[in-house]
Amino acid sequence: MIMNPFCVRYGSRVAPILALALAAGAQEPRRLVQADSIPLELVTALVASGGLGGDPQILVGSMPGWVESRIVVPASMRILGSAFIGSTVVAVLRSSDSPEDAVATLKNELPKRGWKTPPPMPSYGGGFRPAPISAVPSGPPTRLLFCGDQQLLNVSAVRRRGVSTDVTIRLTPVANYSPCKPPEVPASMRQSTFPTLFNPANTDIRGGTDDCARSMSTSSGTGTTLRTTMDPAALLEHYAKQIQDSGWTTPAKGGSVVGRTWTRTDSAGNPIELSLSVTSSAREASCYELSLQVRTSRKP
Amino acid sequence: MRHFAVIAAALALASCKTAAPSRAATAPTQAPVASPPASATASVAVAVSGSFSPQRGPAAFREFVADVPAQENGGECQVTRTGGSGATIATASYPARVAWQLQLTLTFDSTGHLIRYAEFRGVPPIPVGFRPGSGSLDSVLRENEARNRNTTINLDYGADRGIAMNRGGGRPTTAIMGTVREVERLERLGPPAARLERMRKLCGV
Repeated sequence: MIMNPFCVRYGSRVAPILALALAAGAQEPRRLVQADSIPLELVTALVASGGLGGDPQILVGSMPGWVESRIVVPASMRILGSAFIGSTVVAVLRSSDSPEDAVATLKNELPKRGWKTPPPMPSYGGGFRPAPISAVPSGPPTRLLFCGDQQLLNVSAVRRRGVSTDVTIRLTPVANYSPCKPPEVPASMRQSTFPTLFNPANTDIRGGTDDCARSMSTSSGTGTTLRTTMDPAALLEHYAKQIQDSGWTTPAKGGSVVGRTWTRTDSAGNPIELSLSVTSSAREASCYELSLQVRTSRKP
Repeated sequence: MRHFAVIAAALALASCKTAAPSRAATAPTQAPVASPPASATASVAVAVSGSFSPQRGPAAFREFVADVPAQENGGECQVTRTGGSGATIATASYPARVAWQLQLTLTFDSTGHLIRYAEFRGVPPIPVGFRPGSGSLDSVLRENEARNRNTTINLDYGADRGIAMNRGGGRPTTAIMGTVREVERLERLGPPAARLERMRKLCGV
């Protein structure tokens, strides 16, 4: 038997290496997608977005396919990257548009992928309500909120160093209660006789430090019901004389009252009257007090 | 032919009767007590198991048919990292996480190597939204298995073993077993290798 000199010399050393190589053949060469380095601009944007609760998987220049199929990347934007853990995904897009224009573009495009504006929050009763956020004329929005099948999509855009705009898109699963799934109002709470009335934009008084709130912090009222052939002006004049006689004076400006009455029938067919009166303060003409009254009568 | 016992699910159910802490409550592995005090927490381990005899060889691979087709449309992903080992687990549910019909799970070790591929086709064994305590989980599992046929494909890259199996639905279990390469390239199964690559792109892993 002729032995190959190579085998004689190296066989004992090569055999274990060969065995290891064969064993390694069964090893899976596929590896988790992990970037060797992450651009500073992506890291900065992800940190600024508030991050994610955990150790995320990060993609540079792309986002997971399942997210890409749900959102739109307009031609004016490029994907800086994305980070995700669990079912939460944060994607960062860069645009040369202004934040307002970038958001406006997405606002037009996202509904085409099935995203919807959140349902209105349920009302626990009627009466005066703060102006809806969408009614506040504070310029074009730089934030958006959309609802999907089981997800909530937050879009926000900020100017970076004055030269570009970062659009952050955060996709989160819908929790039990969220703007997409507002809690249902118990049936017993839906019996308010007052209609829900939203205040005009930029008129709400936040907190009790406003002069209007201070000047009108206490009030009391009384009322009665009359049957008379007098018209409202004559009736008012009747009481005005008595009020003036007891020392009250008409202010030089402000202090006007206007009102209107509406009618309808309730579900049982009873007639309802609704009166809204607007009283301007005698102290400050731009302060108004609004009063809503509903009176239900028996069926005629 | 080797005979395999498969543990389909091993679940620990804990029913808390009162909030009163007890020694038994912190030691679920203790031997069961004949009549535990009313304040104790009772832990019951429930195992649903079955056995199968996988077929090997080219003929078995040619004849094997997946009873449940892969409904690979849509897809939503979830990526988690285990706290201790630092493994990454990516799960894709098709068409969506709610009411999925196909679920793929990839497990990567802490160094990022893919070590396991698991595919489940059919009705989810545990209904989506099932809450422990809302019913008997072992009954739900058994009923599901008796009623619904499922097809699973498991690839263990470390052991270089691939198994494809049809089970449940009141019919006998059929299975084939081979190397990972043999199973993942089986055209009649998709093939799994191609589906794995699509899933990785879908989930960004």
